[in-house]
Amino acid sequence: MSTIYPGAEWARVSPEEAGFETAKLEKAKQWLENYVGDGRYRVVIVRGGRVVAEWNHNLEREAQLWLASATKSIFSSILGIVIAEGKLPSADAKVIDYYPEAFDVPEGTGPKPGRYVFEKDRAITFRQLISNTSGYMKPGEEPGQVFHYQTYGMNILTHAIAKIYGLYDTNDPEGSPGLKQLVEEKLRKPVGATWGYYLANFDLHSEARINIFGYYDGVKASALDMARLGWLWRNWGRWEGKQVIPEEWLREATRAAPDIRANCPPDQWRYGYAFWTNDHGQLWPSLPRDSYAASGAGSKHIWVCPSLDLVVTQSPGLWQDQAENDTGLLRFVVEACM
Amino acid sequence: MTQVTIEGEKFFIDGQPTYAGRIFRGYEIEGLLLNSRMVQATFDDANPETRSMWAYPDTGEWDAERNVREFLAALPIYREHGLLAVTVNFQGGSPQGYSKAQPWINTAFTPDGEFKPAYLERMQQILDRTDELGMVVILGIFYFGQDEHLKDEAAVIRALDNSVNWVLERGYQHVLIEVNNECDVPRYEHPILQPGRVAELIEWVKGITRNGRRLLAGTSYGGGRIPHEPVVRASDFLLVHGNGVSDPNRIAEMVEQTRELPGYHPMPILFNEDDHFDFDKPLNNFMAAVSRGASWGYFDPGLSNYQDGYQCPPVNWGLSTERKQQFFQLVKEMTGR
Repeated sequence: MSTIYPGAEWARVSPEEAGFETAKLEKAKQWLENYVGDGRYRVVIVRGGRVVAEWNHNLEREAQLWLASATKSIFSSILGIVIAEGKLPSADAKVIDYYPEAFDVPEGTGPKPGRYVFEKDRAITFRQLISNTSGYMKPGEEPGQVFHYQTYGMNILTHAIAKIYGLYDTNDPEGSPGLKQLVEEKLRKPVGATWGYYLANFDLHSEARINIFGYYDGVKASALDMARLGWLWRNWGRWEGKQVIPEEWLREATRAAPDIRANCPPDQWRYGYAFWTNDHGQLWPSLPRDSYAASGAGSKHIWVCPSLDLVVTQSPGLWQDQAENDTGLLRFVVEACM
Repeated sequence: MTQVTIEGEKFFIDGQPTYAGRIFRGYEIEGLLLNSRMVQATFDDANPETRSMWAYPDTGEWDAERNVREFLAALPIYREHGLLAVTVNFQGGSPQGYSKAQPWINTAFTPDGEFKPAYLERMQQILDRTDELGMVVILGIFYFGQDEHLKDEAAVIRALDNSVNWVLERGYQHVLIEVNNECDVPRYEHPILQPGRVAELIEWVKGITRNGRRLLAGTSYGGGRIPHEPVVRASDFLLVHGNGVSDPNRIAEMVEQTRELPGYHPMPILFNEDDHFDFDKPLNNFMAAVSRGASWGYFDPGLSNYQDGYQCPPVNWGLSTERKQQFFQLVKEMTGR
């Protein structure tokens, strides 16, 4: 039986046919209804390539919401593609060799006092940026030594990649096509999604060189289109016979990053290459160890569990911290699996 | 280095399908991986109260190094007869053939999931020698009679992680990972080794790479049973057993049913444990599996008499009984050796 992929629309399947106990899956919906209050939620459950459930509350199903930092997992996917295309020799390439502008941020031109480029930053690699262990503009944090979730490091990653393809110019950041052009060509079109993009920035002081470390491209999407991304990741980068993202990259990206395992305490072994990972059971102790997620502010979540052939998107969900999914929605969904 | 790969339902060794072009009694043998269960090759017993049960008749003592040494000496004989794979296991199998209570302690892992050096050394000798002989090793990691010696789930994962990384770091390319023996036997202590979750561990194995290479992985099911969908989806090959299946037609049916499972995509189906023989008959479990394009694996439990079988120490690893001779003779005829 070959893998099922959505066409213009997702095929639908009943919970029983998808291998769920209906009564138990209903508990997941009940949990949402019990906790939503005056809020809103939008949840899509995909199993075996078909939509099993779509639950919307106070939100239109087609509305495109910002993925926020869930977009970082898209950046990771692009990085894997860039390496496979030979534009970078490996993830251990030094960023300075491709985007030297990122290191021209002297004192006073960083995002805030005390934050600017240090000599140690010149050794930062793409792998360290994507695993949030770079220490970029962070005093005292040597590259690869500390897990520090930061957006500036991701921003320069995107600009570096975009510059490799001739898509980013620090002299015209808002006029540059940026990484979103790669996302458009290499991800959105192959999976048949209809998502949009936004360009955001931080509100910083006037001397801050935001053309270098500011500006970030984000994706805005419906929960159904988020599920397309999840299904691409579930199939280890494969979509209808084409290897869109290298499988080896994705398998590595969805495990705790080597620098994090080597240098950080076990309770931080929850982050790979811009994917949140449960491979050491540190993030969701009661959920499968092979599950991972793209996660963003505003309770945006694309959760993938290959062993259960399952993708659950929340746009938004009802959590403040994604770890709450361990006892919340995802726990009920997993328990409903037969 | 001997390299095993899979293309569709066939095994390849060093880029060539196994038993290339071979037909036997009208059935295609090409691509099969004829194998034998030899899980006690690294056996030892850390329980002083049971250790004497495995004593060699000539010395009156159990000797783990002698055991592996004699196994290594027998490997070329197996290979000469056309056998291409052996199943071994870091936690062995029942040294009484079949057991309920298993007070002996035969595990390569400490309670925390780290390796015991002596076990690793014995397994290394086996992997080195099989590599030289152009054979494949189905490397089992856990056994239901010994998994309780791992203190918790983290230890299970650490043991698996250590095992896979060890194989990759040593550069072995002839190893298939069987996460655990008969995952559906209701005696595994750890839920992650049971059918509902073992697919997570198969994915774990597949997620570890070295220089762009990863190991092929699966797990096995008990006699007469076919895999669950999550395992089918996650696996590179499917391991089933013929224990308790006295009707060869059921063996054929198992193969057909496995191919019909949701999530099945063309991949090898292997029996790597079957305690039925009748090799002198035209229809037996071995032939039934082959007739459906599945590989078959010999499981001869034997007795602890240094003669019968390959599972009860002290094991005579040679062709020391008529049954063993009949099996290897059939393999020889089947493969054209």
